[in-house]
Amino acid sequence: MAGAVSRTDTFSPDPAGTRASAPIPFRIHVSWNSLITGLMPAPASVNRAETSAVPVADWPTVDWPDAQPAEEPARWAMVVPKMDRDGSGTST
Amino acid sequence: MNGRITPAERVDLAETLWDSGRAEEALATLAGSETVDAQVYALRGEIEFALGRFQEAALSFTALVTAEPDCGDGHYNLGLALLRTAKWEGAASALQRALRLDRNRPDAWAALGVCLLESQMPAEALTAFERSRTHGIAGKAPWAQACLGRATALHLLSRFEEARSAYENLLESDPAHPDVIQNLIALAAAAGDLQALTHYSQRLLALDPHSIAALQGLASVALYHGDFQSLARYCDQIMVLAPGSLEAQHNFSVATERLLAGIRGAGFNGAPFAASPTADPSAAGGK
Repeated sequence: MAGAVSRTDTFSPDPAGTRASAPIPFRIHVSWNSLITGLMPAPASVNRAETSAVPVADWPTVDWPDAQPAEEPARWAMVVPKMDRDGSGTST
Repeated sequence: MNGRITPAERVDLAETLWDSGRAEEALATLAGSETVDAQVYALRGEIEFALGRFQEAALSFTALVTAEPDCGDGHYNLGLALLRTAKWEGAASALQRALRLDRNRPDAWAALGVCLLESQMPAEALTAFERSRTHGIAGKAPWAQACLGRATALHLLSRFEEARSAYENLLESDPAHPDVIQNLIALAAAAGDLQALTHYSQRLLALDPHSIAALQGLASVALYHGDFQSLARYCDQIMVLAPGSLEAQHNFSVATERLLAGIRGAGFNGAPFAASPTADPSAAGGK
């Protein structure tokens, strides 16, 4: 389609061919990287007397879905807890 | 030699190796059996997590909670491992199971809050972080994470004044916290507060000369003042650090055009700042 600009096209600062491009604002992102890296596992306390051996062949195989694209929040409603306004309740 | 020792003996040996920093040997010891038990899964997952092998850790913790469904720590650890591999859905499910076993776990609430932030659900994330603070102890993990999470959720909800206050409280205890300073830069940009934008950008740049957010903040100030020489310099630095930055490429071109045309000090009449908060796309787990 003539004139169409797809999201993958090389960005042109001056698509109209003028030489008077206007500046565009910078988007400064909110970051929470340290939240993810700052949470550490808890040493799992397993009662040795009560654990039972499981054959290696019986280990579960799991295929987790990839992260949901931001555009698809609806699928999240299936697994995210529906919390009350006071924060109580984690049932789905 | 490993074929005849019991799982408990195997765990003891692996723990000794792990404690002495011999992680690979510890893992090899745990892997050397035809049968394993929950203790083996738990320790193996812990070591794999520490080594940054989060997918493998997730498998070990899955085996742990399969063998011990009431092991809350196992569900929590599984949630964290999945969080680190950007599996938000699976992570949230595991963390909810941990919370069903113990609703007062501040660590699981904080981790669930992260899942919700990543899923662009800041209101629900705010509730989770509040719960983490309610059940946590000030100064002890994961208190700081819950406070940062709460501030971030407020920020994403455009509750800017509350977010600013929360960030500034965090800075008092950790003046060099990069996420907090970056988010204060974003807040200042949203508010068009040039003084704060300059202050926090310079502060972050002093801590991290490669901070893109700091350079963006200073470039925004230069843009506002029509200082195209500085704008070109900051954009150039941003393009080196983030070659895909369209704003930097574009504004660099604009700045050089203006400089070549001899337009100086004209200022920028439009809005030089993005108004609404945007999440850092690089924040998506797996780091």
